[in-house]
Amino acid sequence: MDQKLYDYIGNSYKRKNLYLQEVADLENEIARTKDRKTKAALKAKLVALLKSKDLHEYVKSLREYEEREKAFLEQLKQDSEAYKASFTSDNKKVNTLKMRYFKATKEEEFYKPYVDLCYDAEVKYKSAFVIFEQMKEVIDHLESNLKDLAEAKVSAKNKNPQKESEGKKAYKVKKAEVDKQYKISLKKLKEKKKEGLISNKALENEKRQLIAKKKKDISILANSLIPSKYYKEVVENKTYETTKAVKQKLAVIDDNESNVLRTVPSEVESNLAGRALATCWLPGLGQYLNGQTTKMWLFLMGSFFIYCIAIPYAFGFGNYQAEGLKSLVTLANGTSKLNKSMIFMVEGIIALFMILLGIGIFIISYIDVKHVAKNIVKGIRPKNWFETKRGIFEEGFPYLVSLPAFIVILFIVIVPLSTTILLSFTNMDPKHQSKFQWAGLKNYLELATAEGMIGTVFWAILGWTLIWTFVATTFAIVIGFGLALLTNNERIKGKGFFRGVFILPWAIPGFISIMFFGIMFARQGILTQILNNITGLTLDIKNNPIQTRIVLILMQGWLGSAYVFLLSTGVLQAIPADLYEAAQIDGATSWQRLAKITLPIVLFQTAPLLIGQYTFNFNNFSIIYLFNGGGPFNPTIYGNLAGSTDILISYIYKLTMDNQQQAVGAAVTMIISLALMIFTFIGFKNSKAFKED
Amino acid sequence: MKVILDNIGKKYEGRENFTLRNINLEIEDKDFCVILGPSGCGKTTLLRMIAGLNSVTEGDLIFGDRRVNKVPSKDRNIAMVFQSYALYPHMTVYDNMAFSLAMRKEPKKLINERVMEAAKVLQIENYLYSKPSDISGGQRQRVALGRAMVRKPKVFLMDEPLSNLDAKLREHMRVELVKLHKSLETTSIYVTHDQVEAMTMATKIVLMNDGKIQQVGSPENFYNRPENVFVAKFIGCCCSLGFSCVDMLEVRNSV
Amino acid sequence: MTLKKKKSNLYLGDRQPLNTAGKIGLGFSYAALICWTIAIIWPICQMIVSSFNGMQQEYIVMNGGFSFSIEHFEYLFTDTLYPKWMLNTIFISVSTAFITLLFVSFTGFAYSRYRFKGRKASLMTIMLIQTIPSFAGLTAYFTMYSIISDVMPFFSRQMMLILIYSAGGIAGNTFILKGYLDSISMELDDAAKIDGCSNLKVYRLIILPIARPMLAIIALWSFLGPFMDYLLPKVILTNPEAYTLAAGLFTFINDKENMNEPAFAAGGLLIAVPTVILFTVLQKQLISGLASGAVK
Repeated sequence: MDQKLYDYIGNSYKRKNLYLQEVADLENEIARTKDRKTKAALKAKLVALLKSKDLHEYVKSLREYEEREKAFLEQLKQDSEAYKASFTSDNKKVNTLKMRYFKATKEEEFYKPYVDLCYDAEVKYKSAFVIFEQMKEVIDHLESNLKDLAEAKVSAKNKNPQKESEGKKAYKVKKAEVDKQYKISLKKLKEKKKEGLISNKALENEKRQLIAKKKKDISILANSLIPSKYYKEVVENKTYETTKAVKQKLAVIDDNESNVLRTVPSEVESNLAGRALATCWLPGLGQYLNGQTTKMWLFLMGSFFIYCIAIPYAFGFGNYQAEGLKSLVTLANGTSKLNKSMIFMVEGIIALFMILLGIGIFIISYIDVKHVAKNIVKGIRPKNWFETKRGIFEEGFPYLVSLPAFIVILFIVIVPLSTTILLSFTNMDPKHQSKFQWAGLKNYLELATAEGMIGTVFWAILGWTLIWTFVATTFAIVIGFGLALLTNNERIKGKGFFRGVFILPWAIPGFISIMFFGIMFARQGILTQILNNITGLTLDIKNNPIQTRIVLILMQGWLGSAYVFLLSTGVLQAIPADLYEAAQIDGATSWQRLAKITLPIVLFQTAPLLIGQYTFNFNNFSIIYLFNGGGPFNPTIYGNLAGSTDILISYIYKLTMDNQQQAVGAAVTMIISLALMIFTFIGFKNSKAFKED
Repeated sequence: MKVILDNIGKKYEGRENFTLRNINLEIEDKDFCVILGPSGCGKTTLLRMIAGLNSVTEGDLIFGDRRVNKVPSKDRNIAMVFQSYALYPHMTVYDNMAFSLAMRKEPKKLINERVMEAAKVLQIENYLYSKPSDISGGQRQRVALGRAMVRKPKVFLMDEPLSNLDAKLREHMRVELVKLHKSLETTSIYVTHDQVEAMTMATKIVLMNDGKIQQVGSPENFYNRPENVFVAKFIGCCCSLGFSCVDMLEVRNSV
Repeated sequence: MTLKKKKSNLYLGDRQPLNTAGKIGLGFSYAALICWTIAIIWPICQMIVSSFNGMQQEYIVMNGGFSFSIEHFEYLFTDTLYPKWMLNTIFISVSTAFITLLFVSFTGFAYSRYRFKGRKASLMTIMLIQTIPSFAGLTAYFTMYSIISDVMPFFSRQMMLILIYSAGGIAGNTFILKGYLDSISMELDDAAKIDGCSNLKVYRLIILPIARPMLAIIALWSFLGPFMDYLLPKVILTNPEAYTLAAGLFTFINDKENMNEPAFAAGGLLIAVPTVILFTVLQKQLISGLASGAVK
């Protein structure tokens, strides 16, 4: 037991419970004495003290106070009922506030003499005092504004048609004046422009301001001259005063009340040791015992989720086909013919996530109860609902607001991802479509050791994928950057024209260009015919692996350079001219300027986006598949599954969609995903955008 | 409105030591209180705590007779002029100034009256319908003042509002600000690192250094009875400019 | 007369006059640029010409003669599902843009304005997860779809597609929006709070209007993404009536029975023209959006 009580900053307070003070002092002394005899004597004294608790002076007066309090609260209930009957208006808000004020007055009176006796009385007295002091003003504000509001509503309803039409007439007159004024000013401006005194831009600017002024003036006139509009505005204003303004004032009172909680410590007899553990099985119970009722309701909702949704689902109730968590083990094997392993797996994963969420709720509740209970013993009172609510909306605002997005990502990204991960450890293939079993690391081993139908092909495809990514992207970057440099040269004329043309490959949707190139490079395609005419050969590009690969790289250069071009142009234009001028004076040649100034700056600025280009090409399904279906075929090296120009992603597509080798496809997907994540992580970690935070 | 800081302390979460501790200050109603100090002494933190933009770790902040530690800024009945003016770029000057009243759904006529009144005093009637990006720095500063004035606040807070202006304009605005303060009859709390501004404008100066208050008093007090060497050096500096502090006090009193 | 003569003797430029090497270099530059221009324009012209060429049959050949006709365009609109594909694509793109914008405007605001626990970690995690091709969850998508559509029959495959696109766009766009919002001084937030705004009001009345250019760019990107994507629609949409333009047009050149390359050219042209115009008009904003988001 502590000899003193502490608040959340660390300030200490003397104990008011004299009995506990004695116990604490004795314990402290016992801990300090070294001499065994004195220690034993003190211990005996302590035991005697604990036994004679009910005979202690302080404890007796405390019990007496508690009796009196009980009686007071009974009386207060009756008095409140009587007071309620005396209410004149039926406005709920006013009555609630009046009741609060009434109770506070009574409480202030009762608890005042007991302030020195115990801290709980002090808290109740001070809270009551806050309300006693400040509530009257709020009630008066509310009542007077309610009256005004009612009057305004009546005036708004009883449209006096004569006054209304008078008002409208006066408004029309004034409005015409304003319009006339506006037209005159506008005419003056236009004349000024004609005489060349002001530019076109200035005219537009001034005109915009005149229009804003006219609108403002007219709306003010409308609200002051036309009675119906005027009263509508008053109603709006008074509604604000009676709702939001009152809410703000009450917030001040609530804040002052909660401050009392912060500055008056709590003093409890037991040390609440096992509370958290004992109540951890039902989130909400511990909060109730701690005295935080609204938090209790929130956690009870969590309990409801756990016991009525998550756990039944995990046992199979409410599943579409599966049997809850068990389905992850059985994967539908041994059940009816209609059950599919895939569905079992997905539902199993959903059950798993629900259980994880439930565990999370348990943990949060346990920590909360433990923390609050510990604080109560120390002297820190638990937060009331006002403080908790404010905490949620102030510090918790970003969490609240991002929650929907996180939920969407959880379901659309995380759950499918887990499914794919798990799938890679099964044996889902053409023979095991409806029902499949766990297969451990079989798929990965096959891929790694280049064995089996799948493994041999994998490494060949990986090789081409890496070559493709590196060569095609670098090619596109070099072209794009080179074009940007050339066009940006100040001596080149027709920049606008060139820039307009160079964006075209980017602006046209990629699949159209790719498909069209596919047509043109076919055996009778236009481009093949032109090439035939030039070289004298009869080319069959799409059936020749090397030629197809070269054409693909050239095409990507065509398509990708436009993006790099635009990016580089933007950055080049942003490089301040004085850098170059300084370099010129320092004696740098054009080449040196290019290499030492332009290149580093552009590369550094666009690095993250260029990295994105590499990952884009690594996964560039469209160009490979749409051009030639990943072909041409070469069964000796690539088997029946893939073609000479397939990259990993199109290979996965063929595995999963055409060949029903979903498990292997999943394994390959995991491998490339891991590789991509590592690559992007390294790239982004070093980028400017992430470092500066 | 009287502003009382009772044993105010501020501790940032990640730091070990208190940034501000044992700050005790009583600012009377209608005072022009200048919080003066070198960079990093904690004066802006103090101002932001009074405004409600930073939380108060310990102690009591009292406006009038209400304790307002946790009351949100919008309910404290204050107005603030920021160093960078913080004008809403997508609204016209008129809407900028009317914003706080529009938020409280005041009648348009009332809003119009108040805005026109403020515009006249500050001489910005011609720019009422321009956007902040179209007007000069000095005009923007006046708009920021106007926005604060329109609210008729009980406490007027200013965070180095003159530091972005050129020297001539600064001199002119010093006089204008004091005039404004007197006509509005509110309490003003002004933060600066410039002793000249403090000595010429304040009725009470609070000199801070290293998170502690070094001295509180009227400008004459500071000049004639500095309490320690730091105060003497800090204030003494301005007199090396060639004109005495007495002259400056005369300028202030004549407004 | 004398005036004109004087003018031609004056060298008015700021730069040094070129020497021969410089002139040759300039010539090469022009040559390179013009070559590339031809490389770009020629295929595009081919496509335009073929789509208007009545003499082209299923395969586009070079020397088949030219006669102007719009029969391919007519074919598109009368004999194929092209109009339906167009509507599908627009529906999907617009919905994606709307949903993405809704989520991202909130998350961008939260990540920019608030320092909360797990901020950096969660951002990095989401970015990393995004590098995984959306393809990866394909089998799971199929399964999830069949489960959901049994429970909620109105949930179509197109809606699944929209959700997938939106989820994919949230992380990257949050990052970009956050970068842009970081450049808006927090003093504006403070001033608004003093003027009477709660957190939500600051978001709605102050930050959103100022961020409008960036939000427009994000909406545009989210709109164009589904437009240009081939893989997911091909895989998820099974009914040809529900195809998007990319999947639909591919059937014109892939399917030996429906082979009609000029119609493909015509269809492609119809899509290309508005997108090209859109891109050209907005090129400045798009680039500055890209640059500021990643670079700042």
